[in-house]
Amino acid sequence: MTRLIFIFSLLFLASCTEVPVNVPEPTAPDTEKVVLIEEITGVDCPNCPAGAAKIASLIEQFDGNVIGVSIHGSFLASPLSNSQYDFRSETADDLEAHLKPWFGKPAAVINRIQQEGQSEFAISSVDLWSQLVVAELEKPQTAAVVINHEYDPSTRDLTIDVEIEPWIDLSGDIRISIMLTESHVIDAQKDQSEIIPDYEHNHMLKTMLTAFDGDGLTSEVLAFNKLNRNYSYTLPEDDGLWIPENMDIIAFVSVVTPTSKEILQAAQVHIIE
Amino acid sequence: MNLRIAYLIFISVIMTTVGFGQEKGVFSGGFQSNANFFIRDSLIGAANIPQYDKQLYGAEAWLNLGYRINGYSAGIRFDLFNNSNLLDPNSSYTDQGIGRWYIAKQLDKLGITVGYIYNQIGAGSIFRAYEQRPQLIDNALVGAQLTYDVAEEWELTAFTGRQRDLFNSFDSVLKGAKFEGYKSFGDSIRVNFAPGVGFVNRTLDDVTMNKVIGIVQDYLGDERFEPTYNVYLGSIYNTMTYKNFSWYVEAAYKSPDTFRDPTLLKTEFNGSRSFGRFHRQEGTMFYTSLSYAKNKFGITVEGKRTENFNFRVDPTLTRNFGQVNFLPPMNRVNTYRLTARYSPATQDLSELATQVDIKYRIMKNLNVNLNFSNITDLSTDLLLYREIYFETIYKIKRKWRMTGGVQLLTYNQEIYEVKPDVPLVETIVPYFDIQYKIDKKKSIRFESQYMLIGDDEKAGAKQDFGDWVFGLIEYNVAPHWSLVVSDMYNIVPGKSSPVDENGDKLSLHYPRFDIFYNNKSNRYGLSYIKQVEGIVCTGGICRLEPAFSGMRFSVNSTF
Repeated sequence: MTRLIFIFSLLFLASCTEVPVNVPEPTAPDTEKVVLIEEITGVDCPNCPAGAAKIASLIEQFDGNVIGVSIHGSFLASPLSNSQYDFRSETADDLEAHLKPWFGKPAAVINRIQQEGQSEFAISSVDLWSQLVVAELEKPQTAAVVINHEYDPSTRDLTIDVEIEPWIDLSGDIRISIMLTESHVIDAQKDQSEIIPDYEHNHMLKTMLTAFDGDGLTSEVLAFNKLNRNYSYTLPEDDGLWIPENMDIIAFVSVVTPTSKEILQAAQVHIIE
Repeated sequence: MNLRIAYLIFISVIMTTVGFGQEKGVFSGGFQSNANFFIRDSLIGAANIPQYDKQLYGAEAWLNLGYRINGYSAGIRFDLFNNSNLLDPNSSYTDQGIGRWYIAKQLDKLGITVGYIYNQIGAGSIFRAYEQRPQLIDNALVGAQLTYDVAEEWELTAFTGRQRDLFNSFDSVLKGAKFEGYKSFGDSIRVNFAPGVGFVNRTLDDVTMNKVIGIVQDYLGDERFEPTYNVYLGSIYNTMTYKNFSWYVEAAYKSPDTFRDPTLLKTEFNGSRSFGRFHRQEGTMFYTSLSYAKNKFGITVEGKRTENFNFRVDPTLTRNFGQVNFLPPMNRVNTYRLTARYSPATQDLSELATQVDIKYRIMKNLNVNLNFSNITDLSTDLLLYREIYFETIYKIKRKWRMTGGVQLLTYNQEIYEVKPDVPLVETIVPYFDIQYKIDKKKSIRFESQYMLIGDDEKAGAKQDFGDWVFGLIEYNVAPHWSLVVSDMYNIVPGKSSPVDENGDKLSLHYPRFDIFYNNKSNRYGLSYIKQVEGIVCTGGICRLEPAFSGMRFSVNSTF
């Protein structure tokens, strides 16, 4: 028996050598596809600045191919003692619930894809976001989204025309979503070691001109048959927020089925160029 | 596994063994269930999860069945979760199925087990497959295990499999072995040894490795590293007893492994830097416990040093998911509501901990207990947790039992609860517990604690939730009934206490009413609960639980 143990130990130790894994250099996919990252965040969330930094980096790294939106729902989003604003909204709350399950903040869902092997829908591991964005960008583009808009500064009226062109035949519950976001908002944010009083909040969801889960477009459309929708909205008075110069319009098309909410393509324009 | 297949296996074992007819089979089982009725209370933070907003109800149930005959044993467990908040206190989980099955057979010196296996090596520092229902931890090994009795009191165990992941299993493969025994040097020398040695290997699956590669691909310059599929762990441990001394020691080593260190800075593509980066490092853990007990006196001294000893089936998993090992906690297990309010979760990357526990019987009816524990960060010496606990128990005949004491505690809330910009929480908790036996059947117990907490000077308020007072009355009528009424009152609100519409801090009550009924081996409980947010630890594993408001019905049965 002693021999058997000795042989067993040798076998165990003999299998300790392996060829190191080669990590290839990252490459930016050559595509016109635009991916949407919906980040579930909050001012009372100490880990969320790391998530925001990651999204800012991804937007810069994949310039023009990545759009971010930060959703301040109710969880860990109550204003801090030195907060100037309350970023929470009913729409953000609805979206936060719509994008569940997630285990903590920050969490992000990329193109509303349920990742294989993940029990979360919005992924709370920031380290995984980059590769999920790359995986989405490597998929073939299946639709184009174009936003045309007009903004009247005197009345603060905003009119938006969105044109969606599918590049493949689509069937299912085809939906359009329109978001308004605001950037460069300076206010308090918890970090891992402190409360940052003058943190810059970017691409923060302000409202949606559609339902939070999108407006139905059609159930079937053939490739290259364009779909158009018009929306109008009057921006609320500027109270330190709702500054049109800092605001963007995001539009995206998604196909909802019993097992998927996948976003096919997104687009973003500044309200004032 | 498909319910039908598992059922067929279980029935097959029973039917097969019935034929032997040499031994009477032993059938056993257990049932446990909780039904929660959620009552929204946004003031205390019991809101904004589906259970409070729309589902209103959640439940969990487990049914265990086991059968033993002629060296065979088999078991099966049905698990059910309906809108349960156990997996994630901030979310809802629904599923059901076979949570566990196993078949085991002892063939002379050889033992064979297949299915869902619970086991551990030493104190668990390199491998522990166990179940902890209050936090829905069940990391059974789904695989096969062999044991072999090498000699009398010397056993070799080898296993291979994958870790359970709710009703699936993780794809990484675990294998390991341990060799344990016992050696006595007779009554004259009075020295006994119980040594052991263990090895564990984890091999990542391709999907997990691709995730790791994707993470490393995103790293720049020196932050990059070459991940490996395999990690190897070894531990050596021994319990030596000599007269009134008992000395346990366990040392463990982990070969370089990929894990996330929240203290490391990661450089983003745009040059910004944020905390939290994966890297590949080896790890060590050392734990020892020395006890002495004689007559009226007993003392236990413990020490633990942990460095980079995080070990999971998938390095990208967080919280309590996918943990392969278990590092024993180094603080006193407190049971009173306020003394247990701040408990330290084991820090598996960097921790240096000591604990001393002294028990002394002054008189036949008077005992004292003194406990001291101190936990610091290994690399920075940052104080994480310190507790000084004194308790005395005085009995008057068989009628009265009086317990009183005080706890002085320092708790690093910034580290344990990731709450930035908060000072070390410092509390003093005096308490008493008086039990009076009215007659042979009836008894009554009073319990009270007061938590005096330090000031948060930056916030201009008491730390955390401020001062608390807790009172409890328990009335027992043996053998069936137990009634408990308690209230935890935020007598001096603190920084985190809820506020009213005007922003004034509120002094809230958190009452609880329980009725328990025992009938033979069945226990039924009905409770109304309002519970403040706090750290909940079970079996040394801790997590931050949000506030709870609602009714709970529970059933526990064994048969």
